[in-house]
Amino acid sequence: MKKIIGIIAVLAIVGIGVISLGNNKKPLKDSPTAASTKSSQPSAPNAAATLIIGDPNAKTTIVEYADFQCPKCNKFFKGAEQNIRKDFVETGKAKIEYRTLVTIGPESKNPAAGAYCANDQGKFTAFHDAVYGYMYDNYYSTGKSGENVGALSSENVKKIAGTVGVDQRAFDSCLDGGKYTKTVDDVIAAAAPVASTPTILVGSQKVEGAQPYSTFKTLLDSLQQG
Amino acid sequence: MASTQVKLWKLKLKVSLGAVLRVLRHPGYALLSVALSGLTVLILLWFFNINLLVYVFGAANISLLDKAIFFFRGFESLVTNVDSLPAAVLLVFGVMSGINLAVLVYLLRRAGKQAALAGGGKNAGGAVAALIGSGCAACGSSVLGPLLGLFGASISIGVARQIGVLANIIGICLVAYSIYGLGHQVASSLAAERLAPLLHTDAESN
Repeated sequence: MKKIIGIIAVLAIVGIGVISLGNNKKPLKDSPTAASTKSSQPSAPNAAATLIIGDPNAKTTIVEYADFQCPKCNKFFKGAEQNIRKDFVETGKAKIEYRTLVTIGPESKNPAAGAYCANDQGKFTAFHDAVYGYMYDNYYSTGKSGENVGALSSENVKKIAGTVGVDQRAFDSCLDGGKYTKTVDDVIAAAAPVASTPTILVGSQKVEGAQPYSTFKTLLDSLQQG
Repeated sequence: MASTQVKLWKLKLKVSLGAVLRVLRHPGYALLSVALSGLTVLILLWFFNINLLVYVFGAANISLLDKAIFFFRGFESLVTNVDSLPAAVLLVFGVMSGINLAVLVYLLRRAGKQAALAGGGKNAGGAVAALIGSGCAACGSSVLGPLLGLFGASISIGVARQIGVLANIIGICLVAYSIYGLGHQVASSLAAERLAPLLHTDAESN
């Protein structure tokens, strides 16, 4: 009798977990021009809210849902993303469309909004790299937690932006004025049901976590072959 | 009294581990244990990207060899996607699961379904616990968040990570207990084999 109860309990936990995860794992279609969008698929934000790394006219789009505070996103940036950029983005075969999520905590909203402010000045890629670099150098490389500890406070985000050559007054005004607060909220809303970071869409395929470069290379090569 | 209990426990542990080691001395079962360990770790690593695996395996323009390489390169995510402590705990769980499953196969072949089923449940329980512990609870790629959310609970990031590691450790304990139990059953089955000819001889002489 105890065995039966135990087996039922195990199956119940597995079932709940799988169902819960399954609700977040509906098949996704990454197509900013898709004619239909179902509620279970993330939709693309409007053109003004698009953050691009690489040539905007590149054939293949890699969509990255990430949080600037997220340690796994940092691992992806330092690892696979560098090789993706070298082999696919810099050669014009693909572009990365970065969509800001706030999964770690409210402090993530500062760099998220800052990304759009930097984008206004054509400095998004440099700002993106500077923020991830800052978090790696000061926290994640030494095993320290950088989540919601003031690392990406509004003041720090302004300082980081300053290191990449933005017009500081314009950037500060943009950030302090909340110019892109609604945009960040809209991107988060449009991203549902993506719930974890980093989540990367390569074509219609979703990849969760900071997977190795080999995973993305296989997918991208397969897409390039059509 | 307490010291007698401790001595008894030590003896039981010695008998159990001795039996498990006897099984693993067979090259076939040792190899099976290694293969199953690797497979367990790979399955846990690929769990959050099962749809991706299905896509790649079904893709017509990816060769069979590339598909196999793609699957086995999942091990790389141990380095890229899992922190050191959870990775170490996951590896330990994988190795112990491999041993447990290999001994289970041995029992199934030698002593039948009944004996094997007794140990299977604990391994399954261990796998569930390890699954709960895997992923990044704070980043959302874990069953822990949704599970707790279903019960109306929410926890801080730090606590979520600790629970994840704890779940992995519980998984290891469950599998360890399973190995202990299976080891005893192997020891019993080996003892029965040794005694059988003697009992047969006694019966004949009577």
